[in-house]
Formats: sequence, structure tokens, C-alpha cells
Amino acid sequence: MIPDDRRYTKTHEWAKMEGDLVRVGITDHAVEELGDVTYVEVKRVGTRVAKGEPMGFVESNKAVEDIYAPVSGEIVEVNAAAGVAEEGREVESAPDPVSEDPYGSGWIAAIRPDDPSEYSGLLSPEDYRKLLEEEK
Amino acid sequence: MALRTPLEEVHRDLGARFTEFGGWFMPLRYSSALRETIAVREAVGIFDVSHMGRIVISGGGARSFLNYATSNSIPGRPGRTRYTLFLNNLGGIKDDDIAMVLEDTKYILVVNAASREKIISWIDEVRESWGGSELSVEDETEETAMVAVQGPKAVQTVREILGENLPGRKFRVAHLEDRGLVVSRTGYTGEDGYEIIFFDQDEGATFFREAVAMGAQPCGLEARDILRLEAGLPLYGEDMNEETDPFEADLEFAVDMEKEDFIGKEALEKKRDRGREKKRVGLRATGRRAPRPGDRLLTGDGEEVGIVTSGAFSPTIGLGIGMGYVQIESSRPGTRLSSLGPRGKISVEVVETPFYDQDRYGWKRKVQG
Repeated sequence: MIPDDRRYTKTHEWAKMEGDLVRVGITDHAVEELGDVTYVEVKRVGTRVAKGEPMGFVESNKAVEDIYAPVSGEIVEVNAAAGVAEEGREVESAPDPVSEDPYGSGWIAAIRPDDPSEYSGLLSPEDYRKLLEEEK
Repeated sequence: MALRTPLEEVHRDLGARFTEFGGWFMPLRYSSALRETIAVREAVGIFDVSHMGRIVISGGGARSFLNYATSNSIPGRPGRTRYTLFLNNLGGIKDDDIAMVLEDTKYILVVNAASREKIISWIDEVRESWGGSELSVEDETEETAMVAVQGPKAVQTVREILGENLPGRKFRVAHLEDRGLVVSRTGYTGEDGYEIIFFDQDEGATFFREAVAMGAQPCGLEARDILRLEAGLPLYGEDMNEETDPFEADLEFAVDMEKEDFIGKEALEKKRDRGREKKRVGLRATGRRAPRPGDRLLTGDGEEVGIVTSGAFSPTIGLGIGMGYVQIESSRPGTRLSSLGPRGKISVEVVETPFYDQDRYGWKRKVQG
């Protein structure tokens, strides 16, 4: 499943422009590859992140994978309600929404982009669909 | 090219995702490995373990050979099984295996998938120094199938399909020759259950489908790894290798130093006299993050005292768990350490295994699932 209302990265994050924020999560494909997501952590609110650099990581049973920032900017929200932890502050609740509803309630963080035009440089749903077909 | 399990079609029908493991193309998971794990702890799960090596050792010298080639005392009475280790001449572990006594002069050795070829050539090598005769070694792995049914409802499930003549006690084996089956009350999950070798591979596939139709949860290698970790069982190649001796791997129970002679005994005597410097321990995290292989284990002062060899999130206890080797001074249960990996430190505690409450889970449980 690849929703049309957002953009994507080659590293399987999605980004969605909402007003002046970019909401970020991981794709359905990423979840399928990882298996059950058991822990998600991102840098603290207020941290500056650079496009293409790690902004956090996802743990599954056997793997730990970085989450790369789709745009440069400042982290302004972390989805604690979905069990996403801020760096160095572990959470008790399971990040089940991240595996079960990765495009909805399982979003991971929101970034205030430095340059909103970076967003339009991300992969379109069509490009991302092609990428997945090439990876098969 | 990876070897294919004879049950591949069954797994495809059940929607499995596959992975390569030990040279085999095997089911990784069917849906959620965490749910598969919980099904085994609470009811019953079924695993294709056809990748495990099955080597038939027979002849008048079979028992004497296995006693010489491996570390534990090998029983002679049909119906027994024994966990035993192949060691190298330096006392390092070449593989950990189950020897099953089918008849007075016929054994089946179940070996790790990735070790199969190594062990078969090692057996050839050991034969030369053994000095005995009357030994036949046949690798039956690719002509047979093997399935594990595990969990508090496993025994009942298998009995409903196969009937009554199955081993009634833990660690026993029944050779149902007329039906082409070897059924042992063994496993790698900490739970009760059976492992079944099918000499007719199609029957293995039929059995798997029947068990699933009766409600057994199909489980892949991911759940199998979580289950064995929760039970505190080491995985060869990950938690031990040829550099590890049985004392530091905490597998003394699989070594019979009273035996007259066996490969590696001399080296182990020296090691025993010297005492061990490090030991395999269970590590329980304080949160959901798991220690990961390669993480360094540090004391509160920042001194490095060990290394992590495996880790996963445990759905049964809801925390990250793992195994590793630590210096003896840091191996006492209750010792607090931190596990340092590429993404920072987490707090872990050295604990006894199994990680779960044995009154509630595992084959010794008091409460029935």
C-alpha cells in the first residue's frame, strides 16, 4: 500500500506535508521487511536533523535500522502515543501502531522543515512504487 | 544454491515469508513472529525443522564411537535421547547435537544445519583415531523431513494425529519403524512437545497441514529464535563456536569427564584445572530495547567485561533479552551492566535462565496452558 497523499524516500520513510510541518513515518514495505517493530526511538524534540542523516532508529526482533530524515529541519513532535521514544527516554508502551498502522496512527515524528521546497524533491508515490518493483 | 525444504509448498500456501538459514531456504515467519511465539507459550505451534541434519550412525560400534567422538555419555538403551557436543582437540565446540537411540546398534544424530557437512567430515576424521570397526554413517537429511510441535497443547495435538504409541516422558524417543517415523519428546523452545522425523517426506507435509487445521500456529525461524532465547538455550554459531569450550558456554551438563576417553577430554582437563575466565550468561534489559550481538558489556565504571552474542525482544516477559559472555567476576545473577552498541547504551542485568517464570511457562510449568 502506497498512499497518494505523501512522498517517499529510497530508505522507505514516508513524509507528508501538513501546513508548515512534515510528518514522518516508515512505509508498509519497511514494516514487512522488519517484522514486528519492538522499539522506536527518535532524537528529542528541538533537535535539528539533516536530510538523509539518521533521526532515530527502529528495532525489530532481529534487526535495528536507522530512520533517515526526509528533509532538514527541527524535530517538533514525537509520537509518544504510538510508543515512539525520545532519545534516552525509554517508553513502556509497545510501538504496535508503527507496525499496524504505519501511514496513520503509527507516524513517528514531525519536522519543521528549513526549506519546504526540499519536500517536492522526494519520491512521488509513483516513483516509490517503481523503486519497490525494482527491489523485488 | 540454498537447499529447499520438502514442505516448501505447504509454507507458501500458508503465506510464509522465507529466509536463508544454514544453507536452507526456510520460513522466517507467517505473520507476526511475536504472535507465533506467544502461541507456543500458551497453546501450540508447529515448525518445519527439516534443515536440521539427520545422520544415522549404526553398527556394533555405534555407541562406542559416539562416546569417543562426543562429550556426553551416550545411552545404550533404545528410547533414550542425549544432548551431546562434538569437540575439537583443543576442547572447542564443533557442534551441539541430540543423539537418539533407535536400537541397540542404531542411533540418529540431529545436528545443526550449518554444521552438517563439517560434522560428517569430522566423523570420518575421528574414525581413524577411534580404532573400532563396524560403523556405518548415513546422512538422511535430504531424504527425510522433520517437524517440531511445541507448546502446552503440543502433546495432545500430536496424539490426536499420530495415535498413542508416542514417548510418554520428556527426552524419550520412539522409533515407529512400520510407519517410517521417529518421534522424540524434545525441542528447542523450552516447552513440552515432540520433534518428528518422517522417512516419507510427503507424510511430513500432510502432518503439517493437519496440525495447522487443528489449530497449531505455524511458526517460522524468527519465532524459533525468540523461543530458544527466552528458554536460555544457546545457538551454535551465534552463542558458541570452535573457540568456545563447554565450561564457559555453561554446558558442563553435556560433558562426562568420567568417561575413559573422548575427543577433547585432555584439553578440557587442563581447562578445568585452570578454571574458566568467562561464562555465558542471560542478560535482561530494563526496557524494550534488546542487547544485540557485538554489543560490549560494561560495568558502572565503564570497564569492559564481556560481549553480547544474541538478543531479541521477548514477548513473554515484555523486555529485551540476550545472551553473552562475561568475566567470572561479573557473572553473578543480579550484576548490573550496560550493553553498548552503535546506537548507545542500554541497562541490562545478569539473570538466570529461562527468562520466563517457570511456574507459568515451559515444560516444567505448574499451571496448565
